[in-house]
Amino acid sequence: MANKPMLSELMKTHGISRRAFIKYCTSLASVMALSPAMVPRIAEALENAPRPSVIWLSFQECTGCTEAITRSHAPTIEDLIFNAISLDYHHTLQAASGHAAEAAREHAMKEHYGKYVVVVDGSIPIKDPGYSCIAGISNLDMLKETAAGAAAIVSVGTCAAYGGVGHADPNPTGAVAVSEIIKDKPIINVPGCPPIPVVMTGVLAHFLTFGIPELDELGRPKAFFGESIHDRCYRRPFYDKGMFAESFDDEGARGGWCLYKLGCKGPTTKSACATVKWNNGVSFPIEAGHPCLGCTEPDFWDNGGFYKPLSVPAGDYRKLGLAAVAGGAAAGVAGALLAKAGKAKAAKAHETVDAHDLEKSS
Amino acid sequence: MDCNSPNTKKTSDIDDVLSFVSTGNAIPLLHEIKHALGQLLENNVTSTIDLGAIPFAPGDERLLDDVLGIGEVHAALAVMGESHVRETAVPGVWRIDHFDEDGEIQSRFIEITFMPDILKTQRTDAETGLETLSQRLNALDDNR
Repeated sequence: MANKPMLSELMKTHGISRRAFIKYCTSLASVMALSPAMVPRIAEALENAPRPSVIWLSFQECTGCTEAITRSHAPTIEDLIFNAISLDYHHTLQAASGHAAEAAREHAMKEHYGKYVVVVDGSIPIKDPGYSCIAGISNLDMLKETAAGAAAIVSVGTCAAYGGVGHADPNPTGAVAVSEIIKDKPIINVPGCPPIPVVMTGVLAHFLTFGIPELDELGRPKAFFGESIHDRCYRRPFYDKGMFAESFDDEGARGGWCLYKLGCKGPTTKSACATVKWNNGVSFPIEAGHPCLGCTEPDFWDNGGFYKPLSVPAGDYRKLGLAAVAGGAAAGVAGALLAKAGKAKAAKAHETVDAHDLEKSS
Repeated sequence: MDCNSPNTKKTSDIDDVLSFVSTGNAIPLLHEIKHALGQLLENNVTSTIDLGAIPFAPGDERLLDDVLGIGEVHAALAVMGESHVRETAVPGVWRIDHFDEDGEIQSRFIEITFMPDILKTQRTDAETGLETLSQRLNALDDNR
């Protein structure tokens, strides 16, 4: 893999024009929330980027993150970027298995010591390392051994970033996040269950072009996790007008009203779902009529129920992350709004609303 | 649920209602475009606005379309999916929409410029073109 051609040569081989590359860089700048003026720099950096060896470790996980990233607009230039990154170990995707696969990992580590990138999906069980092993090596040992020579670590998915479903109460395996074990390497968290495919490739592209991106207090790239889903939601105008769906089949639900009362965690969840969207930009959960579960936030499994509004106390189970606490202000505003609206407002939720009503209430 | 109930709004009605929902961001954006157009004329400075970076509701889209209108030029590009480059009825202001190979939207921009860069032939592409043309001419010679 070390002899792979550079991206510009790959583009030429595949008959991809410079114009197409510029288009890709333009869209990438948009996805990375960078100014369009950065496009020439992105193009230049991508063309001249060294191709770091990437070792992808899958621990206590469901393979959903890998499933997601392999469905990223294939085949496009993103695939080329993946070719340009030398993906030297990924036990789900690689043909080799057993000792041959481990030999590939060890070779890559030795060859690129101090320069390779480790991508991790899945949590690490520490109650008994035997709960999850690969080729007889415990996840804990493999992570420590591989991280030792890494330039950086990308924790992909909520399991690697925060412990995820394995960490959910009662956490039978003692599952923890990568950041709870590795303390001496830069770690980029790309949470989500799974993360948006283009966000995963976007973070890797950012690492290639400009190095470690600016991170928030939870280790997430601000470009993708800088704003709440609520702030970018197309249903936000309904929220601002106090128009909420009360059930999954009422007038409000059919009319695209805000799903706050049905448990939407958009106000306390930071992710690019509402702008980047899923399935090649087709839609995202809220657009499909389902409340946001808050899967990019720590302990979202234990936050008191997917269908309980944020304004309903969740009892002892609520363990909100820092971002969620920050977002509490938004929840407070929403709670006050709901209280003000009261019972009479709820009863009116099924009334016909026309354009003039909306204009008057704005 | 009775889908034929008279209380059930038709999709077109809902779309109509939605088309009036506005975040209020269209007017400031139009002023930004006006300022950028002034900069283009006075200082030859081009500007690009990423529409994906601005919360926009259907009502904002409608206002933007209504005010900018449709101009004289519409170019369709086949570059890893389609791209549409349209000059608006305000010359110098262009709408650029990039789609992927599945026809899904990738990114959307407004460019304030005399000619969007994406329409120009890129130098490296022209170099490849020169090579290609030379090879084809050589092939013609060989076949004679």
